[in-house]
Amino acid sequence: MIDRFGRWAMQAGSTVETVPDPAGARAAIARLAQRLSASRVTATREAAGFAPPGALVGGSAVQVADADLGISVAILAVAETGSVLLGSQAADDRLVGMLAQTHAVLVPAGVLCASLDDAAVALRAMAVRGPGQRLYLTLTTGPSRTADIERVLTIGVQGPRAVHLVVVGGGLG
Amino acid sequence: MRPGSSFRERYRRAVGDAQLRRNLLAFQRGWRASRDDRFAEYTGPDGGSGEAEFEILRSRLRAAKDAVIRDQAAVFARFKSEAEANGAVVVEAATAEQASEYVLGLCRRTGSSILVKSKSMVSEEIHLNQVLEAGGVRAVETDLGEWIVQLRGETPSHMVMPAIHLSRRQVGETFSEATGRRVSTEDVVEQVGLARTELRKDFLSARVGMTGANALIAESGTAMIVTNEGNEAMVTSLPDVHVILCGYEKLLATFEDAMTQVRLLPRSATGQAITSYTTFISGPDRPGRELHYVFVDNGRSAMRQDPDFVDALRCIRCAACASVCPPYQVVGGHVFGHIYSGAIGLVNTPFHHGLENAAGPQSLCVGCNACQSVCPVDIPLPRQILDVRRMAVARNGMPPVKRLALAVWRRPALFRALLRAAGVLSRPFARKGLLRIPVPRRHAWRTPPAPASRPARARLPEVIEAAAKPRLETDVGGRTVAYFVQCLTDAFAPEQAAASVALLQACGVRLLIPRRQHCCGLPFIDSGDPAGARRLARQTIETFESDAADWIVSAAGSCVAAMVHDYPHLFASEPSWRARAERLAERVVDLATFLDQVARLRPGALKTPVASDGVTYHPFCQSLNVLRADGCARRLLTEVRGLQLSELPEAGVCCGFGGSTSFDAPEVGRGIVDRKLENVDGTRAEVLVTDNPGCVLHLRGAAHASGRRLRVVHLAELLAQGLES
Repeated sequence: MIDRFGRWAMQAGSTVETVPDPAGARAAIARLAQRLSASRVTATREAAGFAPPGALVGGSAVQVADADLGISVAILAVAETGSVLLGSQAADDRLVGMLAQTHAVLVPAGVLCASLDDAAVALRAMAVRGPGQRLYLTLTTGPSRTADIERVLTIGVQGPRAVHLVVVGGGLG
Repeated sequence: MRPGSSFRERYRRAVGDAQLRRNLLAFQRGWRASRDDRFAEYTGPDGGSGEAEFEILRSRLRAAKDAVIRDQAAVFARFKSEAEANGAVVVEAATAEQASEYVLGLCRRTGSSILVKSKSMVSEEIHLNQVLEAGGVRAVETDLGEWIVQLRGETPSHMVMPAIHLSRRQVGETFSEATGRRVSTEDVVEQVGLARTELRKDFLSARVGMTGANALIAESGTAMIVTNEGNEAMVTSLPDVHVILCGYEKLLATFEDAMTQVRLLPRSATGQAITSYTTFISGPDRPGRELHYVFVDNGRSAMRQDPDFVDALRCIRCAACASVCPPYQVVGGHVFGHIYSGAIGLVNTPFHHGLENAAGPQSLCVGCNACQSVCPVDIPLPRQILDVRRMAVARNGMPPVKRLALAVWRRPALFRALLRAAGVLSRPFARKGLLRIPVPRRHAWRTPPAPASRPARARLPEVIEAAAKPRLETDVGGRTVAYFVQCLTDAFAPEQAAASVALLQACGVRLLIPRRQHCCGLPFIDSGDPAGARRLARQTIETFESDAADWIVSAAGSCVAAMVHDYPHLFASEPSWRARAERLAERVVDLATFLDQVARLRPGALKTPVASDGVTYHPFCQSLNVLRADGCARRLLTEVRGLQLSELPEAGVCCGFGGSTSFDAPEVGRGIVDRKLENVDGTRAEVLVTDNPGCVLHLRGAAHASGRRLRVVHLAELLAQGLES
């Protein structure tokens, strides 16, 4: 299922790597930040522990806008489409995947499901009112894109220009 | 589109714009390839893929939509109570004005002088921007394509690709003008980058954001929004107030139904497996934030109560019906006059904006049925467009020339006498079936066919007994076939009738060719005159319904489609005639299907009369999209010994005949036939085969008028020549 997920994610324009454990995830993010020469890094609360030192957590839209790298954690991942479900309960955490130039998403292998039908079941469970309810969820598949001008595919309109998925075999601990 | 212009003005402007046609041709070709690839690579849970899986998915979504349309009140009540329990406000607006006023009221209350927008067809439908502007609020379109057309003072020309009528050069010029900076007219990446920098400040300052919704999931009170650019996340997250403007038709019962839509919508709309963002919003997600739903009726209730049009409420706004539409490629979306363009626009516009706004645009439909073949919810668009045409003709009447032509057509004896006289009188001007006379300039792209001085039925006996030793080995020897000649074949193409009869005789059947047969009524259905159509349909049923024949066979695919698919709707309120029509339809079959599936012609039984690799095949639209007989025709051709068939690019796109459309809107007919003939040129074939008489005459005339040496023949003619050799 990880292979299938990776295949479709790449088809959608994401890049994918697999690491065995949280330490591997931290290293992968560090490598990415170095490759991007990222000076402005931002992370969601869940991802804060995987970000390089000094990353901004809980920033405003103006602070987060066009950060070099943003780091989030997927709630769910769908092999059928290579998508990841994001939906931090804190609204400012969502800015990370919305406004950063490159978006890195940690995908604990345990959240992988096979199909959109599985995703439907999970979405229903997350819509139930109560402390676990998620009022705003986004199934994200690849970078922001448009083909509005002459049907020419162009990556990076308002959202991230690149999406890097780090599948963490043993989960995030 | 400039507001307030008439259909005629818009039409004239569009057909004079060669750049528009080029832009849209490239778009349609690219869209079709991507859409087909995305369905081909999709594998369903049962292992199916391609068009078969598309059929499974669309029947599932169609059923889900139909259930919601049926129980709309209950599903809406569920959605409303769930959404309200999540903290949203749900209001209903009966009219466009009420909806716009509500949105304006939100802007005023929050003191917002701008409203950022993303993905809302309904806001275009109700002309929200004008109302906001009049109220001192600036609406900022943040979808790239919408933004481009807004900067140009235009409206979207396509529901999914609002600026697809423009080239990058035009976009660059628009951006340069709007920003006062020099923006590249070549570099699309630079142009897209401009939207990111220019729109950012509006996102950060607006206090009200507005979107539509692709689905409204009742079980949880959740809006699903499908997008690519990332602007929608900002519109729905950054301002304090988010308002969703939507039609009731977006309601779905469950997340599973929404996922079926996710599998169909991006593939059908943009040729993507899934879009970059599929957002699920169930309620305001932080203190002080508001979420409002405005459900707009604006004619939807009337649609729901009309049995002829209720199915159109299934629409998920993918615009596949525009992306596939041959006339759309010639005229673009602005000609439609309102936001919903393509086939669905012709059906929706009368309900949202009044019949008078659909009367002109509906006349452009060629009836090729391509729209329904790609519709992800299987809306019977071709039939509904004919119903709109009927309503338009009932209100506005028919052009005098057409009325006169149909008055003659309605009377078999007069029709025959006049055409025969025309055949005799025009003989000096007739050469190779074409009439060499001056033609009005708008129609000069097509040389008209010459009326036969001796029509087909005058050359054929009423009964031809079965041959003792038939020329071909078949499964139908000794059985009886009634042959439906078709009025057009009779008068203009007796050689096609002769070929069909020769083939049927070779099959060893006993042939009945009733003398009193005339016309199936299709020209009347096509012209919006169902009463006239019923008169001829009754005459046709009476002529052929006796059980003397095992099958009623015709080489006129259009008439077969009319008898099998249009008659039941034509007699919807006359049950006894409807039953007779249905009984007749059981025995009606087109020639290609008859030869391939019924007679089961043996492979190699016929030998090619033409040089190999010189033949290409254009399937008649309704053979392809309605009768599904193109496979039979193709197989018959490939089984002809020595015949090498060249594949025709875009074979499934109409030839532009379109019954009366190519007469009423000759520039559309010409634009479509040019596309077809350029594709034929690419094959280097010398012979073009197709399987409908009207299309043969149209293509032959257009090939001749353009100076091509292409031979255009009916399938029956090519196959019958194979008998002789």
